[in-house]
Amino acid sequence: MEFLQYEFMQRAMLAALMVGLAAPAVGISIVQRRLALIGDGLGHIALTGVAVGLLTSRSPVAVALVAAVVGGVVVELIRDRGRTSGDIALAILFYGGIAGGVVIISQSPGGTPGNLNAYLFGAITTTTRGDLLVFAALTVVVLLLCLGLRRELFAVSNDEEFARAAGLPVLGLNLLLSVLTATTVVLSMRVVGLLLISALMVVPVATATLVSRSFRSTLVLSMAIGLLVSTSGVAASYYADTPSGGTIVLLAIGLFAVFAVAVALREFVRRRQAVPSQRPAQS
Amino acid sequence: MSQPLIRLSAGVIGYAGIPAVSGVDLELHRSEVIAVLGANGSGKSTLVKGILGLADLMSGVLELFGEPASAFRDRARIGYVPQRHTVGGIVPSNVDEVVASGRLGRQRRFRRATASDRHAVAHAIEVVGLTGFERRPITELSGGQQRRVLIARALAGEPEVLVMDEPLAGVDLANQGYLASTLKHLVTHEGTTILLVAHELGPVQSLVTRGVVMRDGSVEYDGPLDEPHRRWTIHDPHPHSPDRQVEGLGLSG
Repeated sequence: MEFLQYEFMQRAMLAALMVGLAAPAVGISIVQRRLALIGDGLGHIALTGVAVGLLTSRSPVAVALVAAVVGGVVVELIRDRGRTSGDIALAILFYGGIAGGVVIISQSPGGTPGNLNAYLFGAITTTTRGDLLVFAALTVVVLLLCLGLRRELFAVSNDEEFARAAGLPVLGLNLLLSVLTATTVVLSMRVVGLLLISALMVVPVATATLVSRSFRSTLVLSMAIGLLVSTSGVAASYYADTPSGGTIVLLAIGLFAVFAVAVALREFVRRRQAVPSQRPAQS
Repeated sequence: MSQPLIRLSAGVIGYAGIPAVSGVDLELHRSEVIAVLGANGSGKSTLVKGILGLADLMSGVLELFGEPASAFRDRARIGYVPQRHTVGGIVPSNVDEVVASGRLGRQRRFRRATASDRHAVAHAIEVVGLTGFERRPITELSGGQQRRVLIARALAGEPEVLVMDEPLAGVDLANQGYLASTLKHLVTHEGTTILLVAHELGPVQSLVTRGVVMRDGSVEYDGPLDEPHRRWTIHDPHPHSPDRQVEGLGLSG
């Protein structure tokens, strides 16, 4: 653990820890409603926020948060009105977000390609003390809401029509999830980057679903996996001198592959064992 | 007569400004079991969705428990069993979790489930005969068992009225019998009032106190069920084919 003697690595580790816990907590609801790529879309929108922040010399994180939250609300309202054009409206919003970001960044004083890369793919070691405090506050809010309302979010994501009939505030819960997703996107921006955020929200959940038998165990396991891959990814990126975001995501996907193979092997063995007992009945 | 639990008068119900049901009057009184019958596209599902607030009431008056539907907040008094064959999704969930989600209408946010919440969930699971299956993932259950989970989910809110959309569709005969005895238990022992939408009544026929037959978005018949049922069975050449049974309903002439 020698890398933890550097203060920037300590901060990186703390940021990774928070993102690793928060991203799957939000991600489970996103996966459940088959909106796995929504985080990606909001990441695109957040980029415009980052660019505006750089241009106006305000905190890029704060402006990105506003942009992503507004984007999340708009996306959800479009989804709620839900007609055929929703898909196209989302596409326009997402690509508008990234195009706007690229153009505005090019005009800003500190806007270099390297700067853009830091937001697109993460630059965890540049996390400042101030960033860390903001991230900690956001993480606490995200986790409190996700865990405190997990049953409500489960009900709405599992069967929206039933939730509506049962009198749950469906639109409110949907908007909340959208805002939580946007917040997590911004939170994860430094650690994994805007283009890789969805992976940290989705892949640990996908891995957990391979072996879980309940929503609760999926939630707990996906958060544990998120924590494991984000912290070990930061450590690995230090030793291998690789970008943290990509390293974390590759670790997450690697773990998914290991789980998938293990589950397939277990099924295979189970079937082999089941065959002899069936033979007498078949002959 | 006592105040109806549900009263719809001159109801026009539809989606996105397009009416699918028009000029419908319907009253549901306590302890009644009403079956809304009709062919595909007759508007029977839209009618109950309008009552549940899932389709738009474009004109007419809808009262729930004596209150205008727009002001009615106590949705937990009406339990809904949607027309779905499966409940499983990408994220695993077990019987207990799905049934407990039906209790949320009676629970306060950010609070732990109380003893009475847990009791209501356990009782709902018991009524549909799935005690012992609480930790079983939904996807490992048969279609009929999943249907029972959906009924238990509606019952977990301890509703006074149970609204069911095609509870027997796609359920094998053994499970149909099981569902019928569950409904019988609810009607006779728990005093539940039932509004169900059906293609065919099968084993629940004997429970139904009144039939409402829909055709082209209007009510064609409202009364005791003996008459349309007799025509239905007489005209039906294929008893095991639901679609043929609707054709055999014989209400066109």
